Parts: sequence; structure tokens; C-alpha cells
Amino acid sequence: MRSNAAPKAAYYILTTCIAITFLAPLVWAVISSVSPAPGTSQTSGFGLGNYVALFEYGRGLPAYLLNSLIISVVAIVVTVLCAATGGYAFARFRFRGKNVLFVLVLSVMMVPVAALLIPLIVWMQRIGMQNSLPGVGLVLTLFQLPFGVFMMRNSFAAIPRELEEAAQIDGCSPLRAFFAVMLPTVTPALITVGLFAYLAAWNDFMVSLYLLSMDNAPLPLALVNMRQQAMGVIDYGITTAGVVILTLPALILFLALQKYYVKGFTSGAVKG
Amino acid sequence: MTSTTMTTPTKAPRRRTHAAREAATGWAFATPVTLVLVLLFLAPIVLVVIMSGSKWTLLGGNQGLNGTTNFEKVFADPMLLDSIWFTLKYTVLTTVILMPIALGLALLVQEARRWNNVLRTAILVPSALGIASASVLFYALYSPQVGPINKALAGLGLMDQNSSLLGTPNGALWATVFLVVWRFSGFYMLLTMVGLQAIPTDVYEAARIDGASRWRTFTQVTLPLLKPTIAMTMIMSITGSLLAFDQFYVLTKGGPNNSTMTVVQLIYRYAFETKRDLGMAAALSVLVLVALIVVNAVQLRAMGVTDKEDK
Repeated sequence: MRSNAAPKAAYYILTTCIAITFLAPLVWAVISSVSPAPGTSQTSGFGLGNYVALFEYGRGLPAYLLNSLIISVVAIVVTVLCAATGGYAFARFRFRGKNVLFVLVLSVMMVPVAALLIPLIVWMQRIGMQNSLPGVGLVLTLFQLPFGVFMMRNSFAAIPRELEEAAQIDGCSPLRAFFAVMLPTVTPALITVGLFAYLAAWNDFMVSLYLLSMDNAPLPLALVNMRQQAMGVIDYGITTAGVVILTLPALILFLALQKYYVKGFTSGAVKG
Repeated sequence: MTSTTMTTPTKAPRRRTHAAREAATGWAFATPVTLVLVLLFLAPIVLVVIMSGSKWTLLGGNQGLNGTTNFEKVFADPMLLDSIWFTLKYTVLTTVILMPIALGLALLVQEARRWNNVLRTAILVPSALGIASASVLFYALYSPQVGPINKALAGLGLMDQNSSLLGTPNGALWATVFLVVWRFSGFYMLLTMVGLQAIPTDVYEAARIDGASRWRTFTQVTLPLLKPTIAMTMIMSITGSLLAFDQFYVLTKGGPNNSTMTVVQLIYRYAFETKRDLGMAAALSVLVLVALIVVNAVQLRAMGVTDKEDK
């Protein structure tokens, strides 16, 4: 009994220290965002002054949030659509060019986002999407395709063929069988793909930096810019409030959907 | 891979229409993916190659082909070698620190205990932050005016009270590595845990019956069976670090004295800051693209995961 107590105590001390290390920066951000500190717009007492200031900073918080939201919605919708239909095609149908197409999807993984952004500055202009929020959403979709298509293909492949055959015998068209029978059975995978598309789009900085002008900035771009702008005098209060606002929805979804993507990763790993 | 189906001559026509219908349906479902790939992947890749061989400025646009001039200009820039060297240093440092931490954390929280669930969630929290916003947060944490980290380091006598951690080349490098390890440990831990769970429990039971010590079980059973997972996370870490941009753009802007300039930051500089030359930026993009494909191919082969990936 006694020999067990020391390692146990050591274990709890160690793990507590680890938990604190990972949580501390965000806890500090929350505290800093509501407290008066040197170099912040909140001069007296604890309160939401920094958040109020953030609301009116630059073009205003609602405008930046709306821009982030537009990019995210486009990225989620298009990614889920492409991954679901593409994954289904790769899992179920035989067609000429299928293998070439699949290799092409996977090769997106090999190509760095940064290397494509220079031509995309020019190309987006050519296709009439310069300085376009949905355009950024689409570019972010591209880089979700390898994970999304791969994940959906594995999920569809795991469903027995009898399910569609039964639906088709009942008179379902392939499209209806897909929407009414197949899609509902792969909901966890769809949620995972959508969540990762959302996180990438909501948190994107680099693609926005290259493809958008400042008057169309989503929140991360605005946040970095507000740190950049004020030479020397940086309003850390507003900045940390911005970090909190930006992190909160992503964090909530990330933690709430944990069981889905852990399951998704596990099934993906077994399939490999 | 080859999908040759036996077709009896008598049934050939009907089977062909069935196959044709299947192919048409398949292509119909694959249309959205194909559109995105052609429009936003293949077209830009072709364009970047053309741009790399053209005089193409940010404001002047396309001024015609100019052969290998852009590549010559990139190679003549002394910053190129410096940035390659720094990027490699940063990549090795990050990967060497991140991999054992992720493995250690995964082993620590893997068992199903109540507190482990809380701990796992705590470690995963930073994964929800974007790298840019995490960098903004750490910029504040490292600031001499309000940041506790700078104050703590000064209090311990590790640095001067008024100087900033980000003000010295080494400080800036380590500060960035720390931020990246904080942000990514949870995600790599998650992937490692999935790998650990895939190891069948009877292997461990056999090791226990044979009387293997904990350390031996770890080195002789866990590590070898975890090799594919370790290979995958390592490739992700190496690839991600080689392409580092956000964290340096926010924390250091490449400074102090260009000491933290990464290759991808150099692309941005050529395009928007120092040269405003999209041709040069495109040439460096092509170099990065080729280098990364080579690095990935070498990694996949070296770690013996190519065969599995092909399946």
C-alpha cells in the first residue's frame, strides 16, 4: 500500500502541471481581456471594456465576424459536398479515370498551400473572384479534399452493398439512394469532415492575407493587422479579447464533437 | 487494382450498357471534386510554372516570358541560403521536441481513468486555436509590457528586465518553437493514441507472461508496432515545419535581423514587401513545390509506408 502512494502522488503532480501548462495561456487571455492593464483601452476596474472597444475597432467586430462566417460556411458546404459525392464515387463505382482522379486528390497533400497562392492571386482575378470571401472558402476547400475524400471513401466502403441494392429494388434512383440511405449512415464521418473544414476556414490567416484586401478581412487577419498597425503601442486588451472571441466557437465545437472525430480517426486508422 | 471482370460473349451488350451507366453515375458523383481540382489545383500549378518563367510584377502584371531570369535572381539572393538553413534548423528542433512529447502524453493519458479524460481535453484545448491567433496570443504573453513569460524569465535572471524575448535570434527561435509545441502537442497526441489503440491487447499479455519489464515491453512491443503512426506524425511535423509562415509572420516578421526568415516567408517578401515581383515569388514557389514533393517521396520511402499508402 505504502509503496504505491509515492508514484501515485508523483503522477498527480505531474499531470496537474501538464494540464496547467496547456490551459494557462488561454486562461491568461481571458483574464487579460477583462482586466485593466498597461497599454490597454480599459483604464479602470475589471469589466468588458476591451470587448466593447473591440466591437468598434477598425471596421467593427461584427463585420470581421461576418467575413469569417462567410468563408467558413462556403468551405464547410463545398467540402462536405465534394467529400461525400467524391468519396461515394470512389467507393462504389467503376469508371475510366477513377484511379488518376484519386491519385490527383491525394497529391493535393503533397503540394504546399504557400506555393499555390502566388498563381492564385492572378488566377482568382481571371475567374472573377478577386478579393472574394467565397473564393477564399473555395481555396480552403481544396486543401481539405485529401482528408475528406479519403475519410468518406472509407466510410462508404464499410457499408454493405445490400443497403443500396435494397433501396434500388424499392425503386430509388441512385441520387435518392445516396441522399436518403447512404448519407444518413455516415453522419459521424460527415460531421468530422465538416468540423475540420470549419476549423481550417475559421482559423485561416495565410490564404486571406494573400487573396483579400484589408477591407474584406476575416477576424484572424484583422487581429494580426491590429497587432501590426500600432507601431510600438499595442492594445493588448483588445487583442486578447479578439483572441477569446475567435477561439470560443471553435473550442466549443472542437470539444463537443470530440467523440465523433476520435471515432473517425480510429476507423480510418484500422482501414489504413 | 486492375479490375478485369469476366464477360461472357452472349451477355456482352447488356453488360456494356450496365457498365456505361455505372461509369456515368460515377462521373456524375465525382464532378464536384473534379471541378475544384481542375479550377483551383491544376490551373494554378500550370500558371505558377508559366509565371516563374515570366517577367511579372505585382502592379505591372504579365510582361512576357523571360526564361530563367527569375530563378537566377532567386539564387543570387543571399537570403535564400540563410532562410533554407533557418527553416531546416527550425524543422529539426520542432520535430525532435514535439515527437517525444506527443508520445509521452499519449502513453500518459491512454488508460481509461476519470482524471485522464480531463487531462486529455486540457491538452487538446490549444488545437482549437488557429496558428495565427495562437501567435497573437503568445505575442502578448512574450511582451515585456504585459506578458508574464517575459517577466518570469527576467525574474529568474535568465534575461534582462527591459529586453524582449523576441528581440534576440535565439530567443525568437525558442519562443516560436515553444508556441508550436504548445499548439500541436494535443493533436499529435490524439493521432498517437489512435495508433496505440490499434495495437492488440494480447500482444501485451504475451509480453507480460514472458516476464518482460515495462521498459522492454515499450521498446520491443509498443515502439515497433507504433512505427506507422510515428512515421505519419513525423511526416506531418516535418512537412508543416518546412512550410512555417503564420507563427513567424506574427511573432518575429522574420527578425531580428532576418534571423528567423523561413523560405515561405521569403515568397511573401518577394511578392509583397521587398521586390513586389510575382515572377520571383513564383520561381521560389516552384522550388518549394519541387523540394516538398521530393522530401515527401523520400520520407514515404524511408519510412516504408509507401506500400500501405498505395492500397
